[in-house]
Amino acid sequence: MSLMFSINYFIFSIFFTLFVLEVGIALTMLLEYEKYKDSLKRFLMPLWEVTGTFAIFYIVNLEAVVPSLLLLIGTIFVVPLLVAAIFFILRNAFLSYSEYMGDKVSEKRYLHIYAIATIIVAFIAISVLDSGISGIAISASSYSINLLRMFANSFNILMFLGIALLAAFLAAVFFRIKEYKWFPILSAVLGVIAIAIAVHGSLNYLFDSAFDIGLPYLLGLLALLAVSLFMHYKGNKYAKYIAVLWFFLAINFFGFMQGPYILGGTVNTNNYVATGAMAFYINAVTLIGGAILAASLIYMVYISYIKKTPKTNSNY
Amino acid sequence: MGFSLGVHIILAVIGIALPVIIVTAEIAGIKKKDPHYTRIAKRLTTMLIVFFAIGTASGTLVALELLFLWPKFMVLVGHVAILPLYIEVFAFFLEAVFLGVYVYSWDKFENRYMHALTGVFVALGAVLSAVFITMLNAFMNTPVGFNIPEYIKTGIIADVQPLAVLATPSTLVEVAHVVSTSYFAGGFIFMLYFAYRILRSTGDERLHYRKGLNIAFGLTFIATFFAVITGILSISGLYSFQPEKYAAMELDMYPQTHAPELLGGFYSNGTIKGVIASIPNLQSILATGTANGSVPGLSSFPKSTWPPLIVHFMFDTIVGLGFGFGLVMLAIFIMLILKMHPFDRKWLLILLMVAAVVAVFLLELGWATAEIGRQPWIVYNVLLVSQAANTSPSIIPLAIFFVAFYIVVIPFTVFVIKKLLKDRPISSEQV
Repeated sequence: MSLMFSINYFIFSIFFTLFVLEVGIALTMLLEYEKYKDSLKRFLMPLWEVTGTFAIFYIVNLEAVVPSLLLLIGTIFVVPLLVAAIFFILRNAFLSYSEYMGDKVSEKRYLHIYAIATIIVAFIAISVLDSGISGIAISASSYSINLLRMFANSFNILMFLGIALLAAFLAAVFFRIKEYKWFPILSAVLGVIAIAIAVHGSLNYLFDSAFDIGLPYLLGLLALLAVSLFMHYKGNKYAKYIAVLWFFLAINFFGFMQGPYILGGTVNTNNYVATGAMAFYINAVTLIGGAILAASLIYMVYISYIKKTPKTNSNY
Repeated sequence: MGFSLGVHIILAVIGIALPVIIVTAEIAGIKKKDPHYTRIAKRLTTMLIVFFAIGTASGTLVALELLFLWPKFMVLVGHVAILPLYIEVFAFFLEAVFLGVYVYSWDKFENRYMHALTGVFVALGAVLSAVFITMLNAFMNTPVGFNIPEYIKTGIIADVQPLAVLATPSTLVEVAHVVSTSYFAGGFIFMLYFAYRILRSTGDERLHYRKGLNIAFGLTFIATFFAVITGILSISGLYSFQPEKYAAMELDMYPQTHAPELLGGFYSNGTIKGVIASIPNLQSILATGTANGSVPGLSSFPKSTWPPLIVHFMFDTIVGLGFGFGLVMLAIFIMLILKMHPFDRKWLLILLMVAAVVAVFLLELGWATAEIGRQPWIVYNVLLVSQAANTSPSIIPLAIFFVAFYIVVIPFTVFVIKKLLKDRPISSEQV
């Protein structure tokens, strides 16, 4: 995989980790709203804008990295992604509406609408990604797509199910949800199995390379998952960071095993990646902008989650 | 696309102007130790977060629409002009990250100026987003940075110079005009809000809103004059870089010297009719600096590349309203200097509310004139709109759905903001 596409996948991995964690929050909001509302909101509120902005970052970076593929992407995914955008607006709108709601009933209703909208966005976005990876339902030569097949195929359904289970696992570990004792381990194992079956069934080349050149990485990932589960059951407060790191690395693993191919291994993205002066400037902007972004995010995390509120404000 | 952009523009100017008003109010509150200003900042922050949420999402929608509705255009942008769009993402991040800090960490700073500083970054991120997006629009008006003859001839994109797109011949003036008009229209939207609330309130609450109106007026006053100046410079720029657009906006059928400025008028069967007034030499003087300066005419260009001539009427309306706004703002400013307390006068508050609606109309009209004036090109003299558009019929039901969706979401958002603020009386706001 080229450097530019690797950076693009790295950006995607950050976005997808944040977003899947948000899907886990959405699921928890629907199932255990009263008990975990405060901790979910405390985490979600400063971060939701960043997750949304990462989505745009990924899209624009993709436009910069593979401009020649835009005609294909823009033509075949127009309907599902615009529908997803509608639900993305609902996600943003109802989350922001809920923030200052004085009455608890409206707040709960708005957060539930937010949660449902988030899960729908996830389903559509994952279906589009699955279709792009596997090529199922896409005819690249005629620039067409069978939408029904894009959503309703075993690969997509198993992938979505697997990711939803992993989202639930992440939320359970991240927010220390204790109601269902065996849920984190069950959802993690079943999630991984669902994704493995999906990949084995539809992307054999990817499955084979995961057990060939990717084997050390794969074993490392499984060990890390075991560590995060062990720490979670031991009540270690750092378990959540290990779980998130595991998910982030797992997405990267998936990407690097799959790359540089898309559409079921039929299209090599290296043939479409921007080159020359444009590639240089895109990488330079990513480096400089990424450094500023990282510094800003560290500052945000420090102020929002670590810094204590002072007792008095000296200016009043 | 036009409808989505039309809605997004309003949300964007709110997102650009509002952080400036909020930070100004917060700093005034700290400096003067006046809780009114701090309350203004806190209450407007509620609005900011909701408008940001809707604005972000509508911006994402526009980004996706660009990709889906204009795929061939985006391929060209992706190869040649992606840098401003890409840098804009980081400006957007700056805004989003610091918005999170500003909104949710109000009480975490011992030094309140440090909190206000995080708001400055929100304002900076918002305006930089506008700057970089406008650079892309400037590329559409004055394309540079690749071998254009080769592209027109063969469709091959060659000799790409990525940095050239950041400084096209029209970039500076266009950016200055967009930024100033954004503050102008955004400022007016909040003048409308404050003026309306002053009319509906009494006592301390009335004082609260009047202080808010002072801040919004200050911003809008400065922006109005920059908007007028940069507007004039924009027309001069068109004279050099987009002569068909210039000629259509001025309704110049033939190249001429000593060109008059036509007010009103329309083109019919080869002649110009219905001119209200013709000011001798003025157009030549404004465009070239001398009365005998030559201005371009539409007859020099093939009729197929003429923009729709309604742009002349639109342009006249913009100029008339623009100068009208300039005079109104100047009059209010003089009233303030003479301590005539303009914001205590009911008629003036009503006038400001009407003016705010007209200001938003003016903003949309300005954008529409710029876009219609570039027709039939999406990238001037390079790519036609008809070549770039996705003509798939599957888009039509989606387009109808989007229009309906915005018609529901925007009023609902205003309703929710109203409810949020109503549930939190000003007096109960902690400072």
